[in-house]
Amino acid sequence: MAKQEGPILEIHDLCKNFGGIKAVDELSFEVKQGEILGLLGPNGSGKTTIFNLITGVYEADSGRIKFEEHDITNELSYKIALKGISRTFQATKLFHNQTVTENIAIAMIARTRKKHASQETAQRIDNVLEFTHLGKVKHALASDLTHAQQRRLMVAMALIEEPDLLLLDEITSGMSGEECNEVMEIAKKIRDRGVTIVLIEHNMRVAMTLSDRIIVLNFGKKIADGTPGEISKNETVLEAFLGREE
Amino acid sequence: MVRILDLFKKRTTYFFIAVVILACMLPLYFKSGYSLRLMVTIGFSIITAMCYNIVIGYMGYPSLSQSVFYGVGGYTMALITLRLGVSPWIALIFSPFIAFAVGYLAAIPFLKLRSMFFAIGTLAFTGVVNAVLINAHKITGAEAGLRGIPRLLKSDTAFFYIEIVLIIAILFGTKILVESYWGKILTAIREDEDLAPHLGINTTKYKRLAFALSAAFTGLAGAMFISYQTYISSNYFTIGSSFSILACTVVGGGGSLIGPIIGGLIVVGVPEALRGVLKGLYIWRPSFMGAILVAVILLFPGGIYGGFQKLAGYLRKRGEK
Repeated sequence: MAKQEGPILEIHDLCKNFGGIKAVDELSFEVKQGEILGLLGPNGSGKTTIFNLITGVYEADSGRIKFEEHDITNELSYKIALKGISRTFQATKLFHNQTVTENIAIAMIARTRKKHASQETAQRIDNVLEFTHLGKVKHALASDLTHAQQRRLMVAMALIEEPDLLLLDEITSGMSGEECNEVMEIAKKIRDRGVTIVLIEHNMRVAMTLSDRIIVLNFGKKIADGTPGEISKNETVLEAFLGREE
Repeated sequence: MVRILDLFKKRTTYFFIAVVILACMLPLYFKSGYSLRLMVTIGFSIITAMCYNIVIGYMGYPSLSQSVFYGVGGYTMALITLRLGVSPWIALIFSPFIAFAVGYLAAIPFLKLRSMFFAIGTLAFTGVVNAVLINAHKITGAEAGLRGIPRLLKSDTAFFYIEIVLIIAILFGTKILVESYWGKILTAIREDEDLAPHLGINTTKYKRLAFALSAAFTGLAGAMFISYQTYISSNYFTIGSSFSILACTVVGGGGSLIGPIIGGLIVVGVPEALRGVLKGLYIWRPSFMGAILVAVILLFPGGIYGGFQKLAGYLRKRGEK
């Protein structure tokens, strides 16, 4: 069960416009320590933009983002990562010409700022490989992995950094039902380690099963916030996803 | 020394020692002034290509301003020795530091650009610097140049041996860099610069430092080259010179230790060695260089060394079957 303590992440009146389009519109929410929060919404509702604002890819037009009491609004991405926020990407992002182990090693070296081949380092990499079920392919090039393995490698790279907050952007996209189950198991184990997770999901089964709480967005605005059970019965949410019946 | 050699495989180490011994014996066989000068010229091309390799090969940025840093080193040598009457050895110490500073300052705007835009930006930078060198003719001597620059060493043979020492030093230096924390950071930047910051890498800082470090060693080579020539002209540091450095690295194989050495030998050495055979056709040298570059890019994107590696991998797999 998730720890229910104070918020690890606070977002206040966040706004981001692209030209005349309001991608994120005065959005406010909190992420509690140790929970799995699902961010849902139709395409173009601003979910990935929120991840990009949290991790410093985009600059916010207004509003504040606080992580563990520190204001991280418009901080540089690498500083945010070093503060303890790791993420995965909607489109797979890896070092494709490096092996699985090298990918994880680079992520760890970047974090620790040291290149050391100690036994402890190797053990940590092996642990993460085992945790993400990548042990058998550890010497394979990232480009030679299956889609599901590549997605798990992104998680492994994020985990080796020992984050406090993990942002998973459509981690199960393009996966079979069985592969989704495997990722869900991994996500639950990550949460059990005390890592807070925010996930963007299009797969409703995954989002509903995995999330402790769900926030639904539409046109950059929050339209609902509640448990999966509450969200599944929310009229506004159904209307946003399915459209109004005339 | 033993620990440094541990970085390489045993077979590679023996091969490397054999090549160094062979290279050291070359002046005993090629005693004529022309042959020796050719070998020294090839040596300078190899050194410059090796320095450039850090930027294009390991960091993945196709800079076209390497000749500028070669020139900064060269003019530092020329102006300090001629105007201040200082020893060329003291000028040699200053050259890499000034080239580092210029490289770092150039990196600030240009490394905000990527791929083609970075290449165009640095190309324009070379053009601007060359125009400045021509217009500031009272200081630089422009195309007519400055003569009488004192030599670091009297004989061409001594220059050749110092080049071998420098090539070995850069080779080991690059190997240590590649295996270090820095090397992994550069790999991350080359492979996916958008992902790297999300792993906690300050890409801006490391890109600037790598670019300036490459500039510093190129400046050192430029200073040595100008002291060897005893003459400097703005014609040495043109867009064409930057392309030659690029050709050496790309043809040999960027991102590998040996590639720039192979590239220097082929791009500079082969046309010169064939000068007697080609005779009237020698004027086609730039076309020859261009054709080699296009062929290598199309056939072996990893350069000739990359091609060898692929072939070796293929033969190994066939042998296993």
